[in-house]
This record gives sequence, structure tokens and C-alpha cells, in this order.
Amino acid sequence: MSVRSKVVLVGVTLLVALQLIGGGCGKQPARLTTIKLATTTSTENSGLLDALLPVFREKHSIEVQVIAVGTGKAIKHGENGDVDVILVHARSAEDKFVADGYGANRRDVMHNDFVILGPAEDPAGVRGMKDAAAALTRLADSKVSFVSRGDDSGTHKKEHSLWHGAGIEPSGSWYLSAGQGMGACLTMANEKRAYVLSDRGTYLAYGEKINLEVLVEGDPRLFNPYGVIAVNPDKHPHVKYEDAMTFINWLTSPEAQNMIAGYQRGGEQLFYPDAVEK
Amino acid sequence: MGESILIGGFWRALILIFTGDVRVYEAAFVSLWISCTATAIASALGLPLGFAVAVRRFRGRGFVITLLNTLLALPTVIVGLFVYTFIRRGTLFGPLDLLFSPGAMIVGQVILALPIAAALGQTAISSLDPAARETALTLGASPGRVILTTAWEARYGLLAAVAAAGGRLIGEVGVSMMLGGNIAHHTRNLTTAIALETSKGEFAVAMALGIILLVLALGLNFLLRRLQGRGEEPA
Amino acid sequence: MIEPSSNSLAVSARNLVRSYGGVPVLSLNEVTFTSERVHVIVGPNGAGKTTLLRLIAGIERPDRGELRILGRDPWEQSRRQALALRRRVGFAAQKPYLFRTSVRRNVEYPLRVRGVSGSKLEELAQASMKKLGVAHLAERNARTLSAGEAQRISIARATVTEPELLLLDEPLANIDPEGAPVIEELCRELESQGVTVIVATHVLEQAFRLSARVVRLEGGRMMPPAVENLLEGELIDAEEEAQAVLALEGGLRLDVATEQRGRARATIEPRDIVVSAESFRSSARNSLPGRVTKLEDRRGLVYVTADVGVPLVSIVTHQSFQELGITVGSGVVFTFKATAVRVF
Repeated sequence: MSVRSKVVLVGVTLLVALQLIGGGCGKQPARLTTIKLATTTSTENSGLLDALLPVFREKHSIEVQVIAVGTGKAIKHGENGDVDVILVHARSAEDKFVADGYGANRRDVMHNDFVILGPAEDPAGVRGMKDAAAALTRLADSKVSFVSRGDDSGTHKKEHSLWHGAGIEPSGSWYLSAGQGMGACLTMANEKRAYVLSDRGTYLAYGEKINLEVLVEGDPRLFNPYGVIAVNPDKHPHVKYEDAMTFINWLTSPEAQNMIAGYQRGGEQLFYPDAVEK
Repeated sequence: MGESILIGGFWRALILIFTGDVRVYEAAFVSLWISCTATAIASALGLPLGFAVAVRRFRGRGFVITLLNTLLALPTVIVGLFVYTFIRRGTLFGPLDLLFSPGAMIVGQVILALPIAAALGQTAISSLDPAARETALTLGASPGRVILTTAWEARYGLLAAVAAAGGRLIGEVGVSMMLGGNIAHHTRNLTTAIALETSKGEFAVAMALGIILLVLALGLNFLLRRLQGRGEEPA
Repeated sequence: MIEPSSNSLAVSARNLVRSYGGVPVLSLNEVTFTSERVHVIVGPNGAGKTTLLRLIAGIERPDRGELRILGRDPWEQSRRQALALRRRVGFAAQKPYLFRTSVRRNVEYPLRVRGVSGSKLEELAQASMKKLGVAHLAERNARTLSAGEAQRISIARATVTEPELLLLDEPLANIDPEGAPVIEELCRELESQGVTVIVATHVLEQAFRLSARVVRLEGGRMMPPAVENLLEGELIDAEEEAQAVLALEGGLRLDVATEQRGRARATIEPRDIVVSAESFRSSARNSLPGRVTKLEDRRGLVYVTADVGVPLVSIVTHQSFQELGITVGSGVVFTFKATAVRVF
């Protein structure tokens, strides 16, 4: 056989082999079902799900496939019935989701908090303030650079509500609306020595990669609750409602809640369980 | 810091490869099998289309060629969005449950690569000496055989079309992300993994994945060049 | 054009027209090519020779007119019939296109498409390459060869399937010195095997070396033959050295000064033929009596055609003509030297 024929043979064999293996990749062993979960990128990036889901799979033979997108998109996927359950942190949007009939059985899962980060030299002088709105007001007056998510995510909605609460409509060359994920915004704030509102989890995950410090924390308005909601089978009959409920029940069970409390990043606890049964 | 990302990335890449890091190999595998499959399908459909446009005279031929060449610049997110609207629940192909599956990624990538295969295939056949077809005819080849011989004579250009399509697909992220959902173990390929690691600030890992992606793309190109045969460039 | 000796015509065309962009490049009233003979189409570049060959080969379609190849109209056929007809015709283009592969595979191609394989395939291809003197190039990449070699391979490829009708477009145009006699010999051999060969060339000399059946084209139209007094016969030894006798069909024998032997064509310039009422003694070796068949007045000269065994034309001035006092039917003698006979 000529050299050329051999190469062709190898190429074709490769292609066929890829087909057989790859095609088989999508299939699970008979007993295992899958459900699709839409959540936010920050949730996924925190690594919490990587810790929880294998345990759930082992216990209930259900594989949870995670699609991590922005909050708005995650909720949209729920409305469209593209997924079976959503896990997001945007309370008012969640309530609307249920009120409009897209979601069934909303449960509190956990919360973490937001922090205002900034350069160590703190040119605006907000370090240690306990009132987030007041801190933002001072930032606006000092016109030091501030990076905003600008992407309608949970974080962005929180930021927006804080500005609103302070009666400020932020604009000007100091206000940078990035339109990107949390990580990208942290990097940007780091580069520009700017201030930024971030969830603690992503900040901890970035650790030594950035040179920003927590300057404002603890204000209850900075709390960031997470809710898990099953997609309503009345709206989308095809969704795997029962399996989704199995997941939700497990997620709010003492076992999972303890795992959530025990999850640490950078030596610190990241999430605080909210589904404790009384 | 820029240089250290590059160098750090390079070292990281070697470590990831030689320790057989599962995530990396999984992502690489997904990239390979999905993009190779999509390239094969797009070529099987697009090359004959390009061939037909090249040899047949018909009204609006010039327009079709221009259209194909324009579609080369299709942004991947547009294709992703387009397919999404047709496969999500409640639409035409909803019941197939394609969204967030490798199948959806393949569909999207085929649509992305089809114009490439067709446009470049058309160019390859058009730039072939018309004497090739005539010679095959006069030597007694049947019409079907004439097509095969013409394609064989133009194989250099046709394989370049396939290589171009494959190169585009293996490096695209818009379609993969939107239609695959970047689901770990299933639809996370190298490009969506790079996007993920970048969003996490894990630049060195992202770089490592990028280097592996480049190596893969190079390898595929090399394979295709070998198929084209050696030293048969026109004088 | 010589009268057909056999009844069948390999190619016949009537009122044939082919135009490009509205401009006619070929416009022929009537042309025929008899079977089992070598024919030549001669004319300058752009005269329409290639177009005519391409029409015969079936890769171009006439805009108007009738065309019959081996008895059939190539464009009034089913696909299968058209293919079968194409397979009986071999065509070697002026600038040959060789496939991107070895010489051997090029020559094998026509056999492969006809389903020939195995040892038969190898033998036939090898034989054809040998005949054209390119067997030593068999494994070479066909694209890396010289123009002359490419030409010969193209012909080897076109003849490997033993077509009934072979068309060669300018086969000697780029040929290397070794190649020319090979191709001429091939034409002779094919003719003896009953193949119809049509060759296009722009060199008159070449044309007549190959055949007496010459069609002359100029500007897409047929022209009268370029030479008067075209003869075809066999050159054999004469008693004297460096002399030959041209034995024509019909028995006439002429003395010719040449060392060439074998089948050949020759011509005599009309102005080299002396016309007289009676024979006379001279150094000229050829003295042929005959009868005047035609008299023409052209451009102030008189063209005298006489049948001296073959029809020959001579030119005399008006004055000479008056002095001779001949008319149609008169007896005359045509005299010319052995050196006046130009052999191709």
C-alpha cells in the first residue's frame, strides 16, 4: 500500500473511532438519569457544585449537567424550558419567575455576601464603612474609577439597587460598565486600581492574583441569597420535574447544607446555609 | 506579567499533558470529535455544492458565489443564536431535545463550516485548468468519472478548503458555548474551557489549554497536508 | 482532396459553423475525411484547425450544421451512446493536460475508465509507452517533464485504447528531435492498421510529409490547396546513385533527385514545367506527353492543365501561348528536370 493510502486509512479510522467513542460519550449507563441545571458563572466558579454534585449523583443516580451563564440568561433558560431547574441569586427576578408561573417550589438554599473592593491606598477613603450606600455616595463624589458588571447579572442588580437606594444614577468617565463576568471585572479593577462590587466567593477564588482589599462589608444590604427553583411542568411538560425535586430536596437536606457550610476557599467559609429545618 | 503568563502557561501545558490531566484530555477529546465530525459533514455537503456552482452556468451564479464568500465572515454567536431559536423547546426541533448536547454543537458547527467548504471548494474547482475536464472527457470517462477525476485533479485546493473549515471550527467558541452550554464532561471543549478558565482568572491554565488547542490544530493541518501528497505543486 | 478509395467516411460535415461571442471562427461548406487514411488540416495559427478537431472530438458543439463522426451525430445521442462514440475517438490536444500523477497512471487512465485492470492494463500501457519512446519515464511525475515528452505521453495516452479515429493537434509543435520521427512512424503504422488519423499542423512541409490528403484552412474557411501538382507515390532506387524514381499509382514514373526512399509526396512548381508541342532533346529527365484539359488566364499568365498520366499544371506567358498555338485537346509535352521535383 502506498504511503498516501496508509495516511488516508489512518485518517478515516481516526474519524470513525472518534465517532464511536464520542457518540457513546453522551450516553449514560441505563440506570443514570440526567437533569439540566442553569446557574450563574460565579456559582459555578466558586467550585461548590463540583463538591456537591458527585455526592448527589452517587446517592440518587442522577447526573446534574450544569450550564453556567449570566443570571438573566439562566432565568431565561428556565422560562424557555431549556433546563429542569435553576439556581440563582436575584430575589426579585426569582419571585417574578415563580409569579409568572415558570417556576414551582422555590426554596432558599444559602447566602453569601457582597463586598466592596478597592486598592489598598483607598483614595476615596471608604475603608471600614458599615453603610454600603453611603460608601458608594462617597465613591461617586470622589470620582475614583469604579468597575460595574453592567450585564444584568445578580451582582449587577445588587449594585444597581444600592445606587438606587443612595439616590444616585452613576455616570461619567469614572464609571466603567464592563459588560463581563465577575472575574474579568476583578482583573479590570485590579489593572485600573479601581473600586468594584464583588461576591466574596469570586474574590476569595482570585486570592493572590489581584491586589485589591475588602474595604466595605457587613451591611445587611450586601447579603446575597441563593434560591433554587424547579421549572414548572405545567408550562413545560417535558421537564424532568420529579428528578428536579429530588435534587432540590437533597440540596436543602441537612446533609447538603452541612457540606455547604463546610465548603471553604482560601481558608474561609464561602456560603452560609439557609435551608435549616426548624 | 504578560510574559510570565506565556511562559507559565507553557510549563503548565506540559505538566497538564504529561500528568494526563483528565479535564484537559476530556476537553481536547470533545474538541476533536465534535469539530472533526462537523468538518466531515460540512465538507460532504459543501464541497459538492461548491463543485456544482463552479461548473454549472445558471442565472444568479455570480450572486451565489458572492453570497457564499460573504457567509465566510458569519459571526459564530449569530449562528449559535440562529440554531438556538430552532432547537429550543417549543420550536420546530424542540422535541429532539438537542439543546446543550454535542449534537447541537455539531449542527451549529456544520452551518458555520458549510459556506467555507462551499466557497473554497468552488474556488478550487474554478481555478482548475478547464483542460482537465475536457481531457477526462476525450479519454472516454463517463460523466460521473469526469467529476471524480476533476475533483482529484483539484484535490490540493479541495483539501485546503477542508483544512480551512476544520481550522475555523476547532477554534470557535460562540457556537460551542451557546449550543453546548459548556457542560463538564459532555460539551466542554477546549475553547469553552479556555473561556471558563479565563473568566476565573486562571490565565495560566487558559494559556495551557490554548497551547494544546494550537498543537491539535497544527496536527490536523499536518495530516491534511500529507494527504495532499508531496511535491505535486504545479510547476 | 483526393477521391475516397473506400466508401466509408470517418468524418463528414456540412455547413458547419462555430462562433465565439458572435464571431464565426469556423465556417465550412463541406468537408469529409475518409476512413483508414491519414489526413492533415493545415493553416496558420487561428485558422480554426483546433476548433475543427475539438468539434470532431465532441468537446465543442457546432452552432449550426451537420456533423457525423463514424457515421453518427455526436449530439443526437443518448448519454450512453454519446459515451460509446467518444470512446472510439482518441484526441491529443496541442497543449496536453497531464494528470497530477505518474506517467504510467496517465497512460493507464483511458483503460481504467473502461474497466480494464490487472495484467492486461499493465501490458497495454507499457506497450503504448514503449511505442512512443517514453517507457523510461513511466514512474516520473507527469508534471515535471519537458513539452516534447509531455506531447509524446499525451499521444501514448490517446492511443492506448486503439481508437478507430485519432485526432492529433500540432503533435510536432513542441517536439524534441527524437520525437518527430517517432510520431511520423506512428501515423504510418496506424494507417496501415486501418486507423483514421487527422493531424493539424501549421507547417506545410510537415503536412505533406504525412499525407497527400490535405485540407487547408484560413480564417475559419476552407482554401484551395496550397500547392499545385501534388503527387503521391513510392520512391525506389534508380540506376544512378542519388537518383530515385517516383512510382505513382497508375503507373507513371518520374525521375527525382533525392536520397529519400519509401512512400512520399512530391510537388512540381508549375513554372518549372516547360510546355512544348513536341518532345525535344534536353538534359531534363522527365518528358511526359499528354493532352491539354484546361486553359486558364490568371493575372496575365496562362495556366495550362494537361493529363500526362496525372493532371499537371504549367504556366506560360501570353506570348509563348500564342506562339505555341494550342487549345484544349491539343497534344503537348510537359518537360521538367529531376531536380524540379520537390519531395516532402
